[in-house]
Amino acid sequence: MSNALEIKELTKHFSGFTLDRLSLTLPSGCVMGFIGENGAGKSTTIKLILGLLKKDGGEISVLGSTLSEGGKELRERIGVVMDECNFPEMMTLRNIGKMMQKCYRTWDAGKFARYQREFDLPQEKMVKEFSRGMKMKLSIAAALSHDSRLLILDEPTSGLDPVVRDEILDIFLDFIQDENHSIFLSSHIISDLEKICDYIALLHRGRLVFSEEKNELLERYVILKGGAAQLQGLDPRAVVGVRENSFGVEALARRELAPAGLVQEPASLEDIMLYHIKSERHGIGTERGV
Amino acid sequence: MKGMLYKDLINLKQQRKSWLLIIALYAFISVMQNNMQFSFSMVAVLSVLVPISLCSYDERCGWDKYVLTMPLNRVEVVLAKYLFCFASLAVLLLLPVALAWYLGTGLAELCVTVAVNLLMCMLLQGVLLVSLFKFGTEKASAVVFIPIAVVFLGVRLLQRFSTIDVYGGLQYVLSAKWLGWAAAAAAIACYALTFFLSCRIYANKEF
Repeated sequence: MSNALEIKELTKHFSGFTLDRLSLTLPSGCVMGFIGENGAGKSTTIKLILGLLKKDGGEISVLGSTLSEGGKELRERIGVVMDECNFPEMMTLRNIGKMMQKCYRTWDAGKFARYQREFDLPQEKMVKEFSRGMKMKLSIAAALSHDSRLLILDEPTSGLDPVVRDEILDIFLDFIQDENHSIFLSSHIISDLEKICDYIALLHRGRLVFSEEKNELLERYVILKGGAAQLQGLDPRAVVGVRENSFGVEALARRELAPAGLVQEPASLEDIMLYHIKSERHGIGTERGV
Repeated sequence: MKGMLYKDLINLKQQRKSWLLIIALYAFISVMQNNMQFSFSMVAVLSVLVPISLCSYDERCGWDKYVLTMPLNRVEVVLAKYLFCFASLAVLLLLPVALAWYLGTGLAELCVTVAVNLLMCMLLQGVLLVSLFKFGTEKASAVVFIPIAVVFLGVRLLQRFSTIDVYGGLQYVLSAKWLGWAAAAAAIACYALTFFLSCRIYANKEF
């Protein structure tokens, strides 16, 4: 299986922040969720992938070639949705269709019209009159209306209500039915990622904490619940993080090293992310009142 | 690149009422005062307003970032902006030319005046475009007034503290026959220089 996206040792320095030797791989036909707290480096990574920032080190390969090697042909095959709708506010859908047709050789006007109908987007209204949900749908419609093989999405569902988010996720699921299509998706909304992702990469303070298959990740970790004394005797290698609250103590632990006798619950992606980030912040896995 | 030109045209069209009002006002005052140069000053004003307005639209919606994810290279993005701004300048120049003809200006004088004004507007627009690509709309809008202020203050100072007759000198230069060609050549050279400078700045710009 070829890779839609390969990043090796990607490094970018800013004053006060460094994206530090990031490496990850997104196989073709898969969806990768890119998570991390605000300022972790997610948008920086996406900008580096798209060539909006210049890297200080490392390699990025998109659909088998670098951006400079791939040139315009490669750009035709990358669909991009940023966290805001980037179309000029004074334009109508008709204007946008005409403009995009002049920009993309592979622009499919029929497809764009179909998405407009499917998303119920008004033809004659200007973009500035659209709701946030409509703007995001427009961005997605545009990203899907040329020969996109890889969608790169930076927080496409943030600020949207659950109904619109669900509709958008359905569109992504539909897109991914073609095994040559892939999605690299950054989001804070972990429940969205849980629905559609095959892989999850967690970034914290510019460093990759993990990049793994979602199912393996969910299988690997478990939430342990019990009293402080019970959890104190745990194998340190098993514990990612501990949190204490008024009801007792909870820990995220590796399932294979978790002792029998403690209450075990499945760990969600949100649990896995939070415990990893907190444990990284504090050096080890002890955190009160997370 | 056609897409970029189309986008700028649509953006500009949305403000057509304001543009037409400015043009009508300048035309009216020029005719009333029988002053051709006044209508040329409108071209200078609009040659600055058009690029600022277009870049401001682009920045506000994040188009300046988005466009770089499309199948266009950075030189094409810069070239599209220059082509559009130059075309708008050429179209705008038609009005004072028509007014000058209406006011009965001689052909030779008209050619020289058009050439000199074109040089000034292209120089102004070129400096502005470089600044816009370098600093963005907010800072560039301030930067472009620096050369204008320097020229204006320089002339004022020369008039006040020296015996040099600035306007008399300009009049002499304007009457020279070779000036039209020289001004046109200088305008093209300056514009081309700012274009290459803009390309260089934009090639290294990060978003």
